[in-house]
Amino acid sequence: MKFLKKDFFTHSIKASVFFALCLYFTSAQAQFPMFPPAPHELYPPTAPSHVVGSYSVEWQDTTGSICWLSERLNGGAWATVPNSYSPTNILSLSRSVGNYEYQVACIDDYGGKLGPISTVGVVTSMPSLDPLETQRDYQFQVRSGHFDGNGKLDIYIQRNSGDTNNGVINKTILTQTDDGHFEVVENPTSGQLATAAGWPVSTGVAPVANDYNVDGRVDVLLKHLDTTIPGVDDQIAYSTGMFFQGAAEAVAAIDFEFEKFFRDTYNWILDPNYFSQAITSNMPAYNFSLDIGVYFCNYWYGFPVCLNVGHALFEQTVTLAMLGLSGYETIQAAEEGLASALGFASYDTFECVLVCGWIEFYGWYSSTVFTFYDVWTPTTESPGFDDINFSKPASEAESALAEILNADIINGHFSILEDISEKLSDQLGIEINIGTQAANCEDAPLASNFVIAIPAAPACGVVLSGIINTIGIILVDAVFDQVEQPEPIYRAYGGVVEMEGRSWTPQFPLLVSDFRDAAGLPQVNACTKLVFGKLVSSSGMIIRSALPIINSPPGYSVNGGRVIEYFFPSPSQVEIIGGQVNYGPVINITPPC
Amino acid sequence: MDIDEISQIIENIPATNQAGSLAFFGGWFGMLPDNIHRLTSVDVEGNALVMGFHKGERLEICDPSELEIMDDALIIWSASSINWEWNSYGEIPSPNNRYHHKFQSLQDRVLLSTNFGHPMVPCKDEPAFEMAWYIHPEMSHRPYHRMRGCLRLP
Repeated sequence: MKFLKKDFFTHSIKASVFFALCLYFTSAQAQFPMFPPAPHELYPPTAPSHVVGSYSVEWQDTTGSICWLSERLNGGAWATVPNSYSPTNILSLSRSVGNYEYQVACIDDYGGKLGPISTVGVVTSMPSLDPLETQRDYQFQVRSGHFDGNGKLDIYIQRNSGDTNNGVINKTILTQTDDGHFEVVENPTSGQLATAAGWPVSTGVAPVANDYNVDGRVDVLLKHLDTTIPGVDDQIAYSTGMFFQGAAEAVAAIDFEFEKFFRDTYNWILDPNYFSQAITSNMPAYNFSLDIGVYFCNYWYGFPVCLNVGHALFEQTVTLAMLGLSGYETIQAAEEGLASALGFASYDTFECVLVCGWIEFYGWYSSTVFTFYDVWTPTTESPGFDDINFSKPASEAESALAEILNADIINGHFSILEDISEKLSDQLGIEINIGTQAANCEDAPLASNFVIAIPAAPACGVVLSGIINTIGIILVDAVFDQVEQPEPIYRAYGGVVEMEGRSWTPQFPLLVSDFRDAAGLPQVNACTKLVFGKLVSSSGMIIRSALPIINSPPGYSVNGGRVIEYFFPSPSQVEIIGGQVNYGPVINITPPC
Repeated sequence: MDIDEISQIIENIPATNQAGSLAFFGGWFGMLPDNIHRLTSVDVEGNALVMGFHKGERLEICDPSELEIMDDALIIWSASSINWEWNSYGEIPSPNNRYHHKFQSLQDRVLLSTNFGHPMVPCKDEPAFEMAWYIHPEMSHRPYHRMRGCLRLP
């Protein structure tokens, strides 16, 4: 082939033009998009969590963008699912057994964009879930040993009946932290489980199966746990409710706060002024139990070590309620109250009576060291506090509920809760609904009034401990915090109406009949959720009867006027402290409307 | 005032005022000036001012002009179109509960297209957009109205 000068010239020109075009397009790319924009936000595809046979994967409409469905098997490499490019957004797939992950992937001028992942487990058969009556008879075994080497005993729970993959706790390890709490070991290996299965059986611990969070799966209460691990509270381990997940979802201690939660919840149901009463009477009061004792240790001449340690000269536990003493806010107040009741000038004087005489008695020793110890433990609110505004029927209902609180909720059946619900409803004229045995996020709102225990379904990512935490926040913030207007205020929201807003009410909506009408809610307020707030600033706040809405939009009217409305002209005047702040039933309440 | 200047001014609003109730062409979102939406981002995309809010809401104002910063609110009097998108509050955000109000300003009226069950009624004479951080209590149940340069007082 000849190489002509002309050709060389021609090729040179072409190369220069090509090079220039490349430069042009490279620099122009920022101004002239090459790809259409990806969707503003990508969502996880919708697919079944577990399935036998073929299944559908559906994802958002990506018309106008360049997107596709990505897939990977058992944590392997991602691959594009054939025929999944925009505008396709649903595919029927047939896969062999395995764990498949899906995500929407897009390309735009900024590179790539990947959405959240959904997982599909393709299995040969689906587990069977027994009815709760059967689940309650499941046998669990508890063992204890050392898992993490922190010197604290840990727990292993194993189920010996029922389908191992049905979403009820099957094998789980709970580790004890340094401060005596327990945590679930997530995704334990088969080796770890096998090791734990070899720990000694904790014969003193009584595992009790019941559905404490009303999600349709039994959870496991570990009663008498302190027979194996001294000093710890009993615990409830919650099932995840997810097929093929045999570890616990969470674990919660049955401690003073736990019991207090139920007590306060109950009192709140009976008396919507429960918290404000506590504030106005300045009486977030406790009974105290006093564990008191005197020990001594004496040293003989020439012997620098203690000769007799731990001689208990006096050791007793005193419940102040037994002495008719109650309602103390602080330990110091309780000390003064006890000393006064016993006729001493001060608690120090009382202490001296217990110690000083012994010092004199043992004075012939060369050196004697006395140890006075007193441990104050809050037991419960004062009886006076508990009985505030209880009507006679309420008191009767209290005794019925007390059965539950005192353990029948633990040993009893779901039907007991239902009975209690009916009894309280009849006696108090308010509806209390305990949810269904197998509810989920979507049908969690079940009743038109207060709910003792709405399902904290695993899909919502909420467990009872979370609810307790939230109630605890309310207690701390609303009851014990000396702020300007500390009682909780409430807001119903949903649909177009945001959780954060200007209109609130101090009246508990679930105890107001036809709250929509009473509060004058606009039609666009779906009123499906409820939040609790705390007043941060009352600047400019006005208090008024809820205003009506008359024929706006045409045909829609509500009267208002039956609840007090707090209107806040500016943002940030209310701090949201609890309620249905997330996308699930964080607190056990049903929509007020 | 061009769109970049408008964006800059909005960004420089004091943080305490970067939240409030929103109105479009004379109608409060939520019917009453009750909601508090918190501004999280302001961007310019071509001729559109794009604002993001804390619950994933997205506001796109095309050809915004006549910005007015009042003591109580930010107002954009004129826009060729407005697209407001939000997810139903109290629900898990998903494409299924993503709604929009799309306002298009014509010569003599404003058109609204929406996929939400309760449409708003846009009014040509009212500001295209308002974010009110302060609402006088007396005005909380009054129909929307705003006059240029005037505080909205009873």
